[in-house]
Amino acid sequence: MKQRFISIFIISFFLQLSSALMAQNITDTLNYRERYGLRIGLDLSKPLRTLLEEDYRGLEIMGDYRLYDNYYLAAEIGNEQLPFRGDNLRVTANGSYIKLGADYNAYDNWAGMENLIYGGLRYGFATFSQTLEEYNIYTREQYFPPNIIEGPFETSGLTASWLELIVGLKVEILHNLYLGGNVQLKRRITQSTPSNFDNLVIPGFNRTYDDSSFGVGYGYNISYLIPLYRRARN
Amino acid sequence: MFREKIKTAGLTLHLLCLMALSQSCQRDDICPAATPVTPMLNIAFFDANETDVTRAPSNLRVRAIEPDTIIFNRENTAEIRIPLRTDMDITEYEFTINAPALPSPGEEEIPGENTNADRISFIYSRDQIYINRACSYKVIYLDLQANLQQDDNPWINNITIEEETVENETEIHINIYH
Repeated sequence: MKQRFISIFIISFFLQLSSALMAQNITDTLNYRERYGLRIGLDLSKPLRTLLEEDYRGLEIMGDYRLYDNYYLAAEIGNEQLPFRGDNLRVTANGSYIKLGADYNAYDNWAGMENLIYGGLRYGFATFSQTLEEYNIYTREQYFPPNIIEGPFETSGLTASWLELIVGLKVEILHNLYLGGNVQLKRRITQSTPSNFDNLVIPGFNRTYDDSSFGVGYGYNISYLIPLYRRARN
Repeated sequence: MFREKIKTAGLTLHLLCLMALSQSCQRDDICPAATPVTPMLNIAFFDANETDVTRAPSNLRVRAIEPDTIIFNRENTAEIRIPLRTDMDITEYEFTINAPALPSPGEEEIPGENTNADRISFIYSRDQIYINRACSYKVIYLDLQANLQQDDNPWINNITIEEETVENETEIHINIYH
């Protein structure tokens, strides 16, 4: 009687122990180790606009680096030639820009997936030239024929800086290959303007507005993740 | 957890967009009618004998010489406004009193009884000033001079420059005494 009781106790003890150990194993295999690395990509919207729009030329390279769990360091660097066509003047801006910042991934990925829906901030800086191609003198009534003055009048060595809020997503379509899209809200902080004129377009900022320092932009990009190490998710 | 994050993110984005839009809801691709642009020349007519009494010339015609443009015909006002050329430093005008009606196209003009034409050359220097992206540039005129051409029977007695700088249309720039 007592022996049977002891053997039942021992068996049940071992069963419990093994089940506890088994449970731990199950938890371990579910803890997927995520890829950390450097992602480098190319903006696709700018080469597309270069082909479709007559006076536009642009190229942008972007990258991000995963620092920690959901936080990424991000940067974009690009070169743009932007036209502005108004009723009474034509302008072209030509220059390069760089944007530095960080992204936060708000998307809760399932195990094994690493997609992003992110929000981020950027500090942007551009150096460029503003060229007034042609303009006409504006008169209220047209008694005389219009006075059109042909340029080009170029002011180079201009700079501008802005803060940017970026919201976008990056989706892994093939192994380590991501396709992404984003929208940007920008606020200009500083700029140097040509004398007796203004910056109508800024590379990296797109067009400016006469009585506002805000601007908008968008991007569509493809990037490749170079994995450096793996870490378990917290 | 995820839903909460998206909700706060979306809310922030909406607020920021509203902020951005509220900064400027005005279209900046039309030049507003209230914006001061290239000013026209304001001329006031006075009596030659009583120099502070305004005297409107009868049936005044103002014609620019180059290009041959009639600004207006048979006006009877004591204050007129005429354009100056923005591409040259000189604008020549012909002021005709008692001008006849304009002939129909193809017909010759028949001068009236007391028709008298005087020519004035306005000489100045120009300055181009940027307004905004919709209105582009305007011209203001500096160091204005008016030269009356000598002829046998001028109806204009004297011309004085009231304002040497033509930069707005609120002041009278030139007084003509006749």
